[in-house]
Amino acid sequence: MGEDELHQLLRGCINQDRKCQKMLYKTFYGFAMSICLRYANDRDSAAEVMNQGFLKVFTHIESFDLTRPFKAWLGKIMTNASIDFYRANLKMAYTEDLEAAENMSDGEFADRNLSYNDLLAMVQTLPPAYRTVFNLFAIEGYSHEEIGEMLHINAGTSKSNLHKARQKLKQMIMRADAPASGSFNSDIDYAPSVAFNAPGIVLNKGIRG
Amino acid sequence: MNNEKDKKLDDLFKKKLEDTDDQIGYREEDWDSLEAMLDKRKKRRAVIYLWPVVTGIAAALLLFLGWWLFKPIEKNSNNLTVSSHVVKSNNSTTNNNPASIATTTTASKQNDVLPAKTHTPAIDSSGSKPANLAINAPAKNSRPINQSPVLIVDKSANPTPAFKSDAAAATNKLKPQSGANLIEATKPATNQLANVVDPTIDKDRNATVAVVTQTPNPPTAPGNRTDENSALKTGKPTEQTISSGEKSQAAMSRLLAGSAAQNNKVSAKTIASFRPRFALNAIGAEDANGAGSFQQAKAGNKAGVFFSAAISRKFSITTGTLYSSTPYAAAYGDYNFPYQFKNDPVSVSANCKMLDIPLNVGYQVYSRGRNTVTLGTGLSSYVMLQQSFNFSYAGYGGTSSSSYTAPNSGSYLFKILNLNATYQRQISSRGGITIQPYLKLPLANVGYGQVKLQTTGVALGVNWNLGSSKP
Repeated sequence: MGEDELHQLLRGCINQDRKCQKMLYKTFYGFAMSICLRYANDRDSAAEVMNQGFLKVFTHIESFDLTRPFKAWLGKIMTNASIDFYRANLKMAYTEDLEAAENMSDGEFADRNLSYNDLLAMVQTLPPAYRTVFNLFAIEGYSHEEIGEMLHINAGTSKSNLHKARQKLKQMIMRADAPASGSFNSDIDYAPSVAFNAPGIVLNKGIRG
Repeated sequence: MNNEKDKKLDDLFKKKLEDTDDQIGYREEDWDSLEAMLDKRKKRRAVIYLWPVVTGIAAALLLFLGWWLFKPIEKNSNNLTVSSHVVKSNNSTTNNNPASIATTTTASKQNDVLPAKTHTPAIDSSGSKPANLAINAPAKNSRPINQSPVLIVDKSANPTPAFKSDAAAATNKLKPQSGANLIEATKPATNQLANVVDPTIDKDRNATVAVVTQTPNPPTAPGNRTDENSALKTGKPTEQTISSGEKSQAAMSRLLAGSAAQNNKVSAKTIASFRPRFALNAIGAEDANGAGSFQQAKAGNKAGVFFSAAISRKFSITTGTLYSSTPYAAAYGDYNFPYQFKNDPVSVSANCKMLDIPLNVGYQVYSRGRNTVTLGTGLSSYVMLQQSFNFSYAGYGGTSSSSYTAPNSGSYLFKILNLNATYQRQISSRGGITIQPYLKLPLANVGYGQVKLQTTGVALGVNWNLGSSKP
């Protein structure tokens, strides 16, 4: 989509034109959803978070500076919506004992033939506290101090959660590579493959400082 | 080494998970649910925008009502001042003949005229006073010209707009007679009035109505109205006056009923969309009361119970009962007693024991933590329980005084405008404390002395939440 076309669409959204809103939604649906999917457990909750984000976009569109890149603004809103959702569901956020993953051997990840869906499914399998920190640090590029501020945790907890997230992801990649373990292709497929999901869970709050 | 591997892991995910628009298929149902959210929000915003309109209409209605009720009363007090002035100068002998309007047509002496100036309570509050004035004034031999018929002209030049032309007609008839020789002028002038009173000439009869209607009765005194009706039955023009007075009274009650119906509609609508919360409030108040102004304000006090219902996050309706002890003092001219004094008192002080029944609407303008501030307005009704008066007279040997306790003189429905601001601090989930400065402005004369009683003060109280769902 060209810059002029985008601005025309945004001006329509400022005037609360429903057609323009839908066009903007459709145009950035994939981008917004890709962010929300990384933070969410599944597609339905990702869609819920994304819609909250778009609601913010449509209700605060007049505050958007047309000279700045819209995609970055939208991405920021989607990330914030995801963090809000995470915070609102903190009670549900459990972290796992990772003793088993600690001494795992590291392989060459880049060489493995893992698809977008495989990797997304792995990230979605992470407990929300690890997943959120991993997303913010590894993909969005925030520092532990910034993440600490955003999630109301200290930087040490952020580091610890990132470490545990990585360990878990490594574990999952190894398992995906094993011939009998199946693949991470869909929401349904990966569920049985996570063998250590149930036992030894501790409340997330206990880990935080 | 470990860091490098971590970096590789991060990069793997970053590369594959970032910017993968095309991997995710669009779902129409996601847009449907967002559209539903947008629609819901739009409706809620529409309701929010509607509130200022509703409150604006209510405020405008209240202002109009206030103006409407104030207007005739101001006129009345004006005439009262003039009439008391005349009475003073006459230093009267009393005669209780009420039907003397028609019979005073040939009056040329003061004594002949005076019977028209009746001193029964019924006549005094009647609409015939200006007519009497018209006759009285020329008979005052000792008065200079500007207090002869010209005085009437001044008064009749200030009629209600509806009667303006008729009043002017009456004035024109009188004007040529206000000549140099007062004694001679008196006779034709009163003859003119006789013509005016003559019911056979339609046009002139209207003129009479115009003159007479200048002192409409205070709408607050239905008791007096009945008396006056029976006392003045003989005078046909006066009957007309009463009927026009009744018309305006009926119009007023229709207006009040209309506004009440509108309020009911609004509250019914509001109640339908919000879950009401209720609270009970016990208050005690200290206030300053003044008749006409706060120049001679006296301290009074109130105590009572309020019940309030929050019909939305911002709006609440409050009603209750306050026992009020209200002392006040004012110059005699500020009162309108239903009887005439032989010697006018210099000042009158009073103490009213009454029930104040307010019906107020509150709008929450501030709410933070445990503190809320609400602005309120509404109308109060006064139910008089006991009224005692103390009259001070200026005599040759200094001042003297006498007192009088008036019987229960009835109730005054929605005759007081309430304005208040309420600060409330929540102490616990069960309740809190309340501080409320308030101002009560009269829309009509109240009490046996028919004064414009205004009150300002501060109420302190405690409130309990009834049936609050919050812990």
